[in-house]
Amino acid sequence: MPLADQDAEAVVRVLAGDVNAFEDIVRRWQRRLVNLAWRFSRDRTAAEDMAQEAFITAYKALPTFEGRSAFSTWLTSIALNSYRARMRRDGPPSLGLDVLLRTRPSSFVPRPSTMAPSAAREYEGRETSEAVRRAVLALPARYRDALVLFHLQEMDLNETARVLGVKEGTLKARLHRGRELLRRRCEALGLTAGTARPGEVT
Amino acid sequence: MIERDPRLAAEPDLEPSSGFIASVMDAVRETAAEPPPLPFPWRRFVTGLCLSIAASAAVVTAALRGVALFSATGDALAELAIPLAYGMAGIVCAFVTVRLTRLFT
Repeated sequence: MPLADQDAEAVVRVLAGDVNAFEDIVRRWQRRLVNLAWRFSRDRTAAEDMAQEAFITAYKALPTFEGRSAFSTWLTSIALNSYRARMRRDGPPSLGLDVLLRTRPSSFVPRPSTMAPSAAREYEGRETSEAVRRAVLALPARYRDALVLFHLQEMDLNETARVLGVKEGTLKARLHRGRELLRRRCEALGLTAGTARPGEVT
Repeated sequence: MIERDPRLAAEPDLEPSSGFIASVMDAVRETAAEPPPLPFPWRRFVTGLCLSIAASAAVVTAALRGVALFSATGDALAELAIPLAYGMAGIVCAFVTVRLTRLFT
């Protein structure tokens, strides 16, 4: 049975009073919601808390689901709103002082001496990527959300646009502008290795 | 066509912990067991609002007429009689409003 039909069936059962049918929905979409929360929080425990909150919000809002969009799009929109509220309340996660120091040319943070050069490079690359992902979270919300959904969560353009409630053209403009802002911020932070100019990555 | 930035996208997914579903379902069952929220008492609200507006209008009219009468006659009794009557009417309206809205409880 296609996912959409499984979702529709579960929704009908939940609305008919079968609370346990919601477990099917949680089982099917837990990975997406937890990972999306992880992209926003960069913290595993917080991610599961956020995803749980989003599922409860969705459960309460289920009677308002009209089926005009795919259930997954509706659920992701609800989760995104919940995560945005959390971000407004708690602010973006910190960039990580050790990462910043390591990526600054003038910093005095020795490379781990026991590592082989290639392993040390890989380690530093991972740390830099993490810092760039955290820098995304400090962008204005409209660019942050577009970049998180499309680049980090790897949703396709069409679904990202529907989740954000914008046209594809608007989304493309936000992605372009967002990456330009990100590149500038990363340059200012000494994280240039993590971001190419928009259009350079093909 | 917009390509993904490999430095942003190349991140392994998190696997939700084994107890995640159970934890969510416990919270959902708790939510489902809660009594539904009380509906907003629209009938009481609208009745009260209409009667309050009527009472306020009566008092304002009385006050205006009192002022007009005072400036026209200067008679002290006439000055007070009509505003007092409308004031009393306003109080009676307010009382009736409270009684009526309680009928819908």
